[in-house]
Amino acid sequence: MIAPENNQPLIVVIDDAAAVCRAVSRLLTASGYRTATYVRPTEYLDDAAEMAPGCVVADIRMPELDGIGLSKAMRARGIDAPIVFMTATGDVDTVVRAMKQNASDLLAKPFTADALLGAVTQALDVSHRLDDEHRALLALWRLAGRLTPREAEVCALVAGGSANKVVAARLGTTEKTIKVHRGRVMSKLAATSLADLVRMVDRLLAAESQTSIRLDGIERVRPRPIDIIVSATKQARADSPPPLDDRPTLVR
Amino acid sequence: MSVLHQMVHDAVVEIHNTFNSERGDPDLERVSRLIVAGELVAAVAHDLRQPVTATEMNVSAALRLLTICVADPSSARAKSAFAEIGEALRDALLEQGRMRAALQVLEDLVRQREPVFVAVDVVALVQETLQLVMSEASARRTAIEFEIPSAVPRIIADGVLVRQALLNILMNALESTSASHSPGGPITLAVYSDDAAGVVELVITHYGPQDEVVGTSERALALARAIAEVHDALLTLEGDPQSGIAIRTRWPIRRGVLA
Repeated sequence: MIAPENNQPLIVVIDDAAAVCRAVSRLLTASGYRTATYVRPTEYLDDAAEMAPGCVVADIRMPELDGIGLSKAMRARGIDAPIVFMTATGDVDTVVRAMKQNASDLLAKPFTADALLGAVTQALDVSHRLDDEHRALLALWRLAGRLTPREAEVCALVAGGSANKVVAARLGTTEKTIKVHRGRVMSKLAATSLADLVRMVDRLLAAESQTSIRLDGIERVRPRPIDIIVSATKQARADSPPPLDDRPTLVR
Repeated sequence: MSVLHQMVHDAVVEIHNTFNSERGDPDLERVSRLIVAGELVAAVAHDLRQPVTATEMNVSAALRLLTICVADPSSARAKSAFAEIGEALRDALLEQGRMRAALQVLEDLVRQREPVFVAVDVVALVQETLQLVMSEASARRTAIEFEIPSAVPRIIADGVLVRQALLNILMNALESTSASHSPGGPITLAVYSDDAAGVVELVITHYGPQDEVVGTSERALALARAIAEVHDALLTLEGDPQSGIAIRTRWPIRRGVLA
């Protein structure tokens, strides 16, 4: 077997038809990619924690666990790698179900080498973009992870548009104390302006459902202060939704 | 229109024309065979898509690897590439064999000919037939469990016809069970040797609507029954809410044993 460079993306190939699995892997390897092959999707899921694939190429109909089930199981494990599905049936129901699972592409067997390589290139582009987004979010998590619980609350309320004295009243402290907390928040988050802070909190809220990030095969759990920011923001909105005019204006 | 599509079209036309024919109709066997062929076109097409895909990938990989060999023939990388090209071409040849076998099945199914009685290895025939329907079973999410002894006596039969009968029964079981259960199955297939009676018995059991035992199943199994009769074999259907529907065929080891 030709050994590709170690820095090449890893592509996981899963197909219960062993001959197809081997042949697809062979083409990808000959094209410079690293590959890992599985004829049983559950075996890949067992190994998944140790891997960081650029994308997964999987048959959509497999007896043990089909492609749709595989996709759901991957997402449940925090694996965001794009999936290129292969199908030997290509019926409408299969296509619809695959697309609902955010399939990167769906290749109807038999497909050409160019079609496979094109789909893999596209999936890897998506993977790189996702990686960039995850890296940016992770950097923000690291900064926000340095906040104390009280600073996280102040951060949420200030970014929500509350004035210092409102925040002080809400948290049962003085405006002067809030100013000190606010200064620390700006410093720890390296925010250059209130608008910058608002953008950061908005980004954290947009990824509210994401409790961990898997990057380079390592799982990072969301730091606790971000949970506080999310819940404090929700609470403040529920208590007194601020008029839109009170929100700081974003300067882009 | 492809040959396979034409075949299905012809089958549908003939089914409409002869649907009410009596069982003694000389066209029945061919029409029934075409029905099975129609049902199996999807399965065979699925079976063809896999080796065609694998062949395309293997040959494309070999061509890419060849560029490495040409660029620097004496390098270690080129040596690995040469070895890999050999593997790729061997695999491509294997897949080509699978394609040829799938096409042969279609040809056998639609060809009209006189029965040829020879000694038939039932175990090999059953395994080969199971191989044919496995992809269809997988597509229908239906498990087929089988119990086949390592050896049973050979029967004097027309192997192509017996395979058609088995396919007919298995496809009917697949349709029936997957229509009533999701995922369907399981279907069980057992082979027994009754040396005292001089027969080899094949029992296929599946779950499905009980009324099909005397309804649609009877018609769907017309081909299997006709083939059994040609072989002096017996085909019986037994329906039971607990154990499902059992289709039992008893094939004489020598012709005329059950006559």
